[in-house]
Amino acid sequence: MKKNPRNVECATPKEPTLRELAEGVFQENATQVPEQVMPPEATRRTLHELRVHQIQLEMQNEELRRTQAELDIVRARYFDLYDMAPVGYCTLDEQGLILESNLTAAILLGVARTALVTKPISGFILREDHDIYYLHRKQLFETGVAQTCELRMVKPDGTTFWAHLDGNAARDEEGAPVCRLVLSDITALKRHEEKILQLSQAVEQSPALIIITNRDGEIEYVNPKFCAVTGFTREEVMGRNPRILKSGDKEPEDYREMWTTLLAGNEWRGEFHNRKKSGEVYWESSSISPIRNAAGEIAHFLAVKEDITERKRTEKALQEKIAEMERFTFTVSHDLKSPLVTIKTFLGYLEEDVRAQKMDAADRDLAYIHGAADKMGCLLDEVLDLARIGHKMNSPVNAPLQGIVQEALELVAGQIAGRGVRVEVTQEPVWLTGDRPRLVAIFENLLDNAVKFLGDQPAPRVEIGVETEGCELVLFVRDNGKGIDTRHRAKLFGLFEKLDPHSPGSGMGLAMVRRIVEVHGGKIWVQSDGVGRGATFRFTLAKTQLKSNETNSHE
Amino acid sequence: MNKENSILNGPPITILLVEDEPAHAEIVRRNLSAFPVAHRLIHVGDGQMALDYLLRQEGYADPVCSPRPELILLDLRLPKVDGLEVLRQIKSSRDLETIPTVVLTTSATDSDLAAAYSLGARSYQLKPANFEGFTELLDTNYRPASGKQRVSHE
Repeated sequence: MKKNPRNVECATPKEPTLRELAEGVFQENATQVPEQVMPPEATRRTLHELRVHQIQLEMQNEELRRTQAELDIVRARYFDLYDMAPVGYCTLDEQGLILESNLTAAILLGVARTALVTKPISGFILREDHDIYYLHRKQLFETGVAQTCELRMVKPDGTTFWAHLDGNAARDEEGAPVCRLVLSDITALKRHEEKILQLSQAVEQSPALIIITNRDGEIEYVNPKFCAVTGFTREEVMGRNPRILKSGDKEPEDYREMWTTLLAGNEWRGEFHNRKKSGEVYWESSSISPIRNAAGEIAHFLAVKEDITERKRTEKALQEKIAEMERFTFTVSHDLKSPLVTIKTFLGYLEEDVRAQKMDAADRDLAYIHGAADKMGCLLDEVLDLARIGHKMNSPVNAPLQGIVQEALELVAGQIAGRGVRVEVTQEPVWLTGDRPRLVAIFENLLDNAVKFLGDQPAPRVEIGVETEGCELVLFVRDNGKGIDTRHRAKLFGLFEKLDPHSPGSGMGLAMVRRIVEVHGGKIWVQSDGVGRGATFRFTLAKTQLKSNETNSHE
Repeated sequence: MNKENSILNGPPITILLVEDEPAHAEIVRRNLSAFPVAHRLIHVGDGQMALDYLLRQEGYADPVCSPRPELILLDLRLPKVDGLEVLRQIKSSRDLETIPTVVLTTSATDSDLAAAYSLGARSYQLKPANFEGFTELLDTNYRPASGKQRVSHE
């Protein structure tokens, strides 16, 4: 490195002064002066002094030129550092006017540098974000502590970008407070941040249960839906293994298969029958996949699960309905075919008998044909009637249980009297709401059914009443007849599952009762202690109320 | 088939017909009336009566009035005790299990048919308009003391 010119002036005593250096140069050249032109002593001294001064000046001049060159280099470096820095620099006064800025800042703001000076920087800040900036400036000048903020800036052409402002307080040459501001464009960063925020929001608000575990299967994250479904709080499951949810009805083999798939780097899909914190079990459909880190190693596992308990329940109900429909179709065709077989066969016999002039036999044949045709007619009527439940409804009425039962009793009065059945009806003020003829049909069918299955009970009795189960009112029709074989219980309410085809009706009575109860938002079930011990049909109907008669005296 | 050698024309055997539909029972009776073999056709109208008869219970205790059948014609849809249950009890009784049992049905796709076969029914008879082939079926199926054989009937 070249010597700094200042070093010459502040030279240490050991170093030669400029005068000494100049003397040295003069001595070197002295011999070159010829003896004969030597002037007298005084003149010679003056000449010597002048020569040394001349040399001194030449040396100083040389030094100055070098310094000038060095200054140019420093200025270029400064320009490079300040102007071409990867971030924008601005100096602002207390009012926020730009005093100075680097080239990067000008480029960032989309204007010429000269156009920046004395402009308020707020003109480059999106109006909505002005408050952020003002607060930033206020705190900076008040506290003198460096401040940072993020806001949106806008270029004269209207495009906006996200900027990170880094400000610190300083003083200018006159000692006035100024703010030095570093501006950086963080639009790309912000965009990533927003993307991450969106994605994490999606995970947080997902209707699916989401669990992230580390490689050892320890829970590191669960989303709110997980907590909502399982009843566990986030704190309770952190660091634990998802097997805390195990209900125990999956084979260890299944888990092994799952881990083999996962550790091989593949996605595993399956269903779990899991247990909530409350002990309640639920069905979930799971997709578990390994998450690899930047090095490509499996670092985490992501489980996305869906609570499919309701779906399973619906599926099962649907399958039951489909099975019922199949049975219905089969039974209808079977039951219709049976009288058809009779009709066709006896038509053949009728032909033979008429041809043979056996008129008695022909009459008998006709009677069979009539009977079978009637049976088909009844059957079709009932099928249509059953199909109509739930489609054609009378407008709902509110009526006391006793009134409904009375109407039903009148419809089955013949059977009741014929068998000498004692019917007891509760006096509780129970009010039913629904399609009145259908409600009557429930009791009509249940009474009819009870009478049909009294067996050889010497003192037949049917009791109609109401019980409270939890907060629900449960109606019941109890008989002391021959009861129901437990094997038949499941089939009892099925279509055409008649136990006695000779009875009037086609076995659709109880199916119809169930249908009516269901369209009235209730359910029906039967209890029997077995053959010979009576049966109790219990059912609920939505909107059944227990209320005093006075409040409904208008009925 | 040589009608002369047919079982139908042989000595009468006792046939138990379990059929709840009187018209269908009448059809069976008429179909068989022409043949000597069916002169002892006993008809019961429900599953319980069938079991009572076979197990000699209730009104069927007298073995003279209630001879053991050598062939059972069994409807599957029966009141009180259904046909499959009757069949199950027949096949679980050492005394009764060897009696050939033919199931009567109106549909070849009856899901109960498979169950009936698995319980050991010998064959089934569709109930078509004229019980066509019914007599032939009986002839093919009824072989006293012969081993089990199954005939599928289209």
